[in-house]
Amino acid sequence: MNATTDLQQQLFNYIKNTQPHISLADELCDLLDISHDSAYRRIRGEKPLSLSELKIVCEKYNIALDQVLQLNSGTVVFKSSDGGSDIRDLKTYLEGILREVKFFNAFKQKEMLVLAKDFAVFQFFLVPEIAAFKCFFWMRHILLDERLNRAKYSARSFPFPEILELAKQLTKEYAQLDSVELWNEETVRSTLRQIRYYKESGLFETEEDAEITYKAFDELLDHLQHMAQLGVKSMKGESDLIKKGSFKLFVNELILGNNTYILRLDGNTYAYINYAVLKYISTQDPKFCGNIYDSFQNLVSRSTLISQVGEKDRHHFFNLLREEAAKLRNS
Amino acid sequence: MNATTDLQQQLFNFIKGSQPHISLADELCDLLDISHDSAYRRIRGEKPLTLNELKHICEHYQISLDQVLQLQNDAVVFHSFPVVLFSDYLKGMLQQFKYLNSFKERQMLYLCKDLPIWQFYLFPELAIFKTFFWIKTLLNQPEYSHQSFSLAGDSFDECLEIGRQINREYNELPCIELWNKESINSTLSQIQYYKDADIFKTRNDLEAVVDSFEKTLDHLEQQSEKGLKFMPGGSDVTYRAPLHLYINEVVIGSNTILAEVDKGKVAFIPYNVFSYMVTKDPRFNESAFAAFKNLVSRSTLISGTGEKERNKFFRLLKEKVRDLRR
Repeated sequence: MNATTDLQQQLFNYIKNTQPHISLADELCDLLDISHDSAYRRIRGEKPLSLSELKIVCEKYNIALDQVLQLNSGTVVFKSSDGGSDIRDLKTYLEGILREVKFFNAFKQKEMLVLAKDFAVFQFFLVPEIAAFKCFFWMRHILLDERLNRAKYSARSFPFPEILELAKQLTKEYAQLDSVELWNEETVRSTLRQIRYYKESGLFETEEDAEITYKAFDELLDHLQHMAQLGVKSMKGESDLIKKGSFKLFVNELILGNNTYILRLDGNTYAYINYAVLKYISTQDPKFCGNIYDSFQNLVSRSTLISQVGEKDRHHFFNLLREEAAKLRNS
Repeated sequence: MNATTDLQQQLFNFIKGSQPHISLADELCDLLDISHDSAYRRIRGEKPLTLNELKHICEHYQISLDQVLQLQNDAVVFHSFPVVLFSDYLKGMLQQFKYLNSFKERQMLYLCKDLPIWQFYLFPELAIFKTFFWIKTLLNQPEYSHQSFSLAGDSFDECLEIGRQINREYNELPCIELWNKESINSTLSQIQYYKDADIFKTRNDLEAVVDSFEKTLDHLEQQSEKGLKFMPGGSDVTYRAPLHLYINEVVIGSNTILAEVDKGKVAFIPYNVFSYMVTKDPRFNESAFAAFKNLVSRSTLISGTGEKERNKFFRLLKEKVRDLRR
């Protein structure tokens, strides 16, 4: 009986810690339709919660029970980025990411480890013309936004300024985080392919739009190289004097990345796993995160550091990316 | 009170359904250290389970509470299979294939980032190389840390045999696969990495691995020409499941495997290079399947048809492999 009491108390303590500003007893009265006295008896662990009460409480406070009870069942509980609803709207999607990154930045110690397959959303948004192109591509071809049915892309008139505004905010938040990133030659490829796909399918409004987009991509590479050289993040055209997060860049030749993000926030580790092109699921499961962190460190130990140091390798790598861009552009 | 009873009964029904051969009441007596009578009262939902009992039960039967309560939060539950021993990993994969093949209606969708792991087991030299690479360089197993690669060394017989068995199972599973031009790149760079780091013991070891890689691509090309899957040199008599191979130029894949069996859906999501986690979560699977179908609609079919595109595609891959000899 004692241990039960402990678990139930643990659960309520967890709720109190995550929601410090509520009166738990008052809320339980309403939620479970019970008296104040009964609520207190449950909080003190004197009266066990029934399964249906448990379900109501977990839904109300959005609790993953397996995690709170540290259930050792071989399962890992993930939170899905879209709460299970099928997001069709890029604005809602980006707002979700912005909330997450702001959450990261609320911690004192914050570090992001990235096993990149493509550049991160935040990086595309360093150059407005690339931001516009990628947003258009995602909306039209991945999220299937009906507003863009049959639309062609024009670099001069991206129809959703509020999305570009969000993009800018995301990049600003990203610039505050320390990050360690593992890239390889493939990291540029999907975007280059997408640009080419648009060109071949006649999805650019004019020839000039393709040119503008290719040129913007070169600018993006220049800026990323600049960041790598200093080992510090920066926004294009902004003074380097404002304090920004560090940028540690490694070249990994062993495997293609998978857009996994590992967040280290004040001693806690979170893993974000990518699926279905744009979506993410995340977990704080200690075993799972420990495992994924170790494997990231193994890759780091076999990779080459090219930020701040390793000028020769850095030039070599970025030139390779530029060649890749030129090749896809001209072939 | 009624709803409680229902949920608790549902939980026990779920356990009975997944473990039909046990006596639930007997097991509960042992597990919770209670009398037979008390066990029955819990099973009938007359006496509510405490959180502590719930935790015991879930751990014993490997159940997620979030799943049982069908919590309407944004949780998705996965079973994860971290890799410790590589042969165990392959055995696990073989079991999954056997499970999928036990259904009458079955289909697998594969969003390729690399070639599927089992396809490296079609020809022995490439199989030995990949197994060595995974164990030494990615799993970091200490006994391999100073070893160079030689075909005269460890021949990984057990892994190769399991790999062959997986291929046999795979050949009976109808598939839709989305590939792109990047799909062999990680193996190319792994071979290049060993070459640059002088891990190949002799030039002949390198040549033999490259030969074997070329044979693999030839075989995969033959399969896609026919739109069917079979073993190299296999007879026409055995069942050959259809293969629909598409080239996707829009995104780089993720090695996600989705399977549809007798109306049920399962998703295998990769993490940590080659570990997989598995879920049957319906909402998650809906969105994963929808994303796959969207990519298919923007891809080019090259199996059973599209000869021109197919030739171009495989020629490109083979040129890249040939460059390894330079």
